[in-house]
Amino acid sequence: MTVGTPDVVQLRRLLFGKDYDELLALKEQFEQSDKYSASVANIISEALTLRGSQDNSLSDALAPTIENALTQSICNNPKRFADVLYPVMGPAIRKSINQALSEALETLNQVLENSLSLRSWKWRFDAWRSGQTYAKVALLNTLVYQVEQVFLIHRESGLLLQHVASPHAISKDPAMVSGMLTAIQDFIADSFAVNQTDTLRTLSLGELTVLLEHGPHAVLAMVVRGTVPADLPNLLMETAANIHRQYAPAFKAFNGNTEAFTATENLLADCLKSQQQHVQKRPPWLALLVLLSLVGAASYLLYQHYQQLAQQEAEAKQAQQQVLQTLNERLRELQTHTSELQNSVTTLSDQQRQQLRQQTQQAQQLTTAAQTISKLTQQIEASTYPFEAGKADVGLDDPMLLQLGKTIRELIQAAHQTGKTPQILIAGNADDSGTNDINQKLAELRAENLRDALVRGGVPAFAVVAYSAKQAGQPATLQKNERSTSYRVTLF
Amino acid sequence: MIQKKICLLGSFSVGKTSLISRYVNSLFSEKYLTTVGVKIDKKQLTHDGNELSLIIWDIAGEDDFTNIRTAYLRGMAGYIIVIDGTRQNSYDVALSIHEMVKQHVGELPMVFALNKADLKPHWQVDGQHIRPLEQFGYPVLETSAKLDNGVADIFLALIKQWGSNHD
Ligand SMILES: Nc1nc2c(ncn2[C@@H]2O[C@H](COP(=O)(O)OP(=O)(O)OP(=O)(O)O)[C@@H](O)[C@H]2O)c(=O)[nH]1
Ligand SMILES: [Mg+2]
Repeated sequence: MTVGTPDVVQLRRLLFGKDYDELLALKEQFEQSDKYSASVANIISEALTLRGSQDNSLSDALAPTIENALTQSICNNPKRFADVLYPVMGPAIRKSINQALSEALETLNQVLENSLSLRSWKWRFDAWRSGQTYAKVALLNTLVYQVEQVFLIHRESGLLLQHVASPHAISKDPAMVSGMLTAIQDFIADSFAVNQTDTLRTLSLGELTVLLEHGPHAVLAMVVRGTVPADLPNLLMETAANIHRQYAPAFKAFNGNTEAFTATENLLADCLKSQQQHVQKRPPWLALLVLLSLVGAASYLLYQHYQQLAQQEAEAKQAQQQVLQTLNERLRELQTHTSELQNSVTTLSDQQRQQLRQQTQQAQQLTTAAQTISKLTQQIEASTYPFEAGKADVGLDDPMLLQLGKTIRELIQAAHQTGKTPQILIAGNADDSGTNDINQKLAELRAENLRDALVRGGVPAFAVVAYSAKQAGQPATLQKNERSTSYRVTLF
Repeated sequence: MIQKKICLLGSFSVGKTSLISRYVNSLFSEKYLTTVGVKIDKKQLTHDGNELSLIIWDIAGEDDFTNIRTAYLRGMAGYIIVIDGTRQNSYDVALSIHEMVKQHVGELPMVFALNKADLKPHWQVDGQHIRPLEQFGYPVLETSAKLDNGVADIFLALIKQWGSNHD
């Protein structure tokens, strides 16, 4: 496109020559957007690469646009994104589930381990003493450090722009804390007449450290429990710089409305770092020792207790036994007495019985003996020996004589049992034929012969006496008018 | 949510801490515990349908106004100067402080509080003192932290100024 009348054009040509056409072409390129685009298109990638290598401003500049574009694109066609992301999401989800599971296991392990260690009892005691939960005390003790809170504070007013805290942190109203943190800095800066550009960088109290990073518009404060690692201040510095870069306009426009800083939460949350102590896995010897000694002490006390009981029991038993023994002894004594008595009674009765028996026996013997004696006496007194007329001869082997001898011996024996001695009177008789003298002599002879025959037959001589029945003074019962001998038994 | 930093200024023992304690915690104590340095409280309220959070800085009163640490005043959205009606001196201190703040921080919404209104028979501050205050163009209100009279009003008077002039 050319400008001006043909004359002027000609004049310009004369003045600028060929360069004029080139200038016109260049001008046309800027004015016609399609041509301009075409020329930018030639260099845009190179330009982006070049700027990207120089600083981060490109990412900061593009981020909102890209974010918006992505959001819109996902809203318009979610399926396409799902399809694209599918190969990435699957493994990512699996990985995160695995990690969650293994973390849960590790936590369980630690809980089990801690619940048995001596340390854990100390923690329990501390928790009880300080009124905190056991979980918190345990966590605090196993931590090397933990960033408990992060404050984003408006530098000028001390107003709180954003605040994040770890789950276990105890925090007063962060808006007031934010104000006090600012007031403290003001107080120190004012009190010690330091260089105006100097700022308070750390506060520390016991286990707590507050790290402060001052930017032109905001202060980033980090409350750390434990030993602050070297890289933490760097993280704080980077985060502060990042926030200042991203929120510069918001800071300038700040009038108390904190909504503009809601999105800083993610950046602050990235600062909530913590590191746990590497707890060595070893058997809980101390806990076991304590447990064992407790059990030992308990069993010793129990043992002693039972021992005492047993002793008491034994003593009681002994006492009982003693009583029993004395009782037994007494009983035994009594028994001996009784048995002695019984014995004496028995012996007494035995003796009596024996005596009685003897007496009875004697009586019986006497009775039987008396019976035998009387029987034998009858037999003897009943027996006769028939002599021939006028004669006085006695046949020694006459059965009647033998029988008589035997009976007499029996009588002597029986009479002996009664302590007596029998005497048998043998009276000789003669019949009336003959003279008195002859008859008397004959009777005498007959008795003497019989006596001799009996003695010879074994009858003791002292037991038999012979005489004539015809002799004067003799009982009439013995005088018989016959040629015989009669007998009469007398016991002395 | 809108947050605002405000400061309570004034001579010692005029009742700054008592007014805040009454406003924030509804408490009052006859006991005087002087404030050392600064103490910060927070009061949340809704004003004109907006959530508002007042961060109230209770600054120790000192009679030599130059001793008030100007650093504490940085970033405040307004302030309340408290005068003890029973003490003429606290009125003079109030005027000095007002001047000092204007110099160091500039014109800001503010309120004058004439405290201990329950002791009015003993007041040393009267109409002749009050009129010059009113001429500054800021609200001048009587309060009693003890009886809870006009306490919320001084804070409200400050809040209203943000609604009209500033923001
Ligand atoms: N009768 C009465 N006494 C009050 C009132 N307000 C405060 N007081 C009393 O005045 C004394 C001082 O009150 P503070 O609130 O501590 O005063 P302050 O201004 O904070 O003092 P500094 O902290 O030293 O600057 C206390 O004994 C309060 O009980 C009031 O409205 N009426
Ligand atoms: Mg006070």
